[in-house]
Amino acid sequence: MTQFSGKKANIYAVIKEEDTTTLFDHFIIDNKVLFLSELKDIISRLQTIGKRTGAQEYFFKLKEGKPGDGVCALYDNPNSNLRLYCIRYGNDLIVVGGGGHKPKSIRALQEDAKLKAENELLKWLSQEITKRTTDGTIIFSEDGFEGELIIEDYEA
Amino acid sequence: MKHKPEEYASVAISEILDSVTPQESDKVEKRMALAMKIADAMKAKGWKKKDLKEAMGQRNQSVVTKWLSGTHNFTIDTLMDLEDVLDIYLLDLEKKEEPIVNLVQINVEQVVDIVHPISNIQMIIDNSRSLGSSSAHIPISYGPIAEA
Repeated sequence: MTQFSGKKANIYAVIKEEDTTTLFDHFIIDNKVLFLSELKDIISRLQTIGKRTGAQEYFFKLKEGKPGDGVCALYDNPNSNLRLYCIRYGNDLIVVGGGGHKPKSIRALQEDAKLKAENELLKWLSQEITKRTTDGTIIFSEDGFEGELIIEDYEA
Repeated sequence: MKHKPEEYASVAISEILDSVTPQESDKVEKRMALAMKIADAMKAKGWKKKDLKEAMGQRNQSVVTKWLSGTHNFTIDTLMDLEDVLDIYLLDLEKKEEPIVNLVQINVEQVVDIVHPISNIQMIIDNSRSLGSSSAHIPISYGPIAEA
């Protein structure tokens, strides 16, 4: 993502095969009417991560996926309305997925279908990236990801 | 086939970025830089979140998580307490502001005609916009206007 990536971190988006925009673009489009100021903050933070600070782990809520899979959420205050899921690979690289409106109660948050679907997709994607880095079809270079970046067969 | 990912510039992101003012952007950057400075100081001391929580007399570790998130709007008192326990400077009150200095080009011949330099600053700047080859760089400081 050219608007976010910089000398401190490479930031990638995810696009579904049958779609023309990224998961993150859908997140913006779905929420810009009701939560514009939160979106401005999220976008400014991602830009700062890419260009100034890197993806320091304390900027994220970790352990939003399976152990060690890197699935996390950009930090959100308990009072905020939006959650954005990412996969973090150290300070240098993140994959920004989708997210959505965050219900106020923890129980509702855990059961929210939209957020659950976005989280599941990133968990699956992280698992597939790990498989491909293990067999060498995707590599991490100093410029970021290289290799076979079209990953098929996701079933929601 | 191995390839690099395509570069992607999003219209949706651009629309939002266009609405972010330089002040808003600066605030985000400074909050994140402040969080990094606190995290670096913790690392230097070998402290975990729990250690900072205790040193700051907090009951809940989630407060420290929020401080480090790069989103927190700190009070001056909290920043002063953090300075004390982490032995770092977060509020640099000793730092002096640089005087605002603008470099303008002026025609050397025009300087001779200026009787009251301070009251003619605007004229110098205006004239500098249509300069020929005989020009020089002169720094002009803006400050209290002295009586001529």
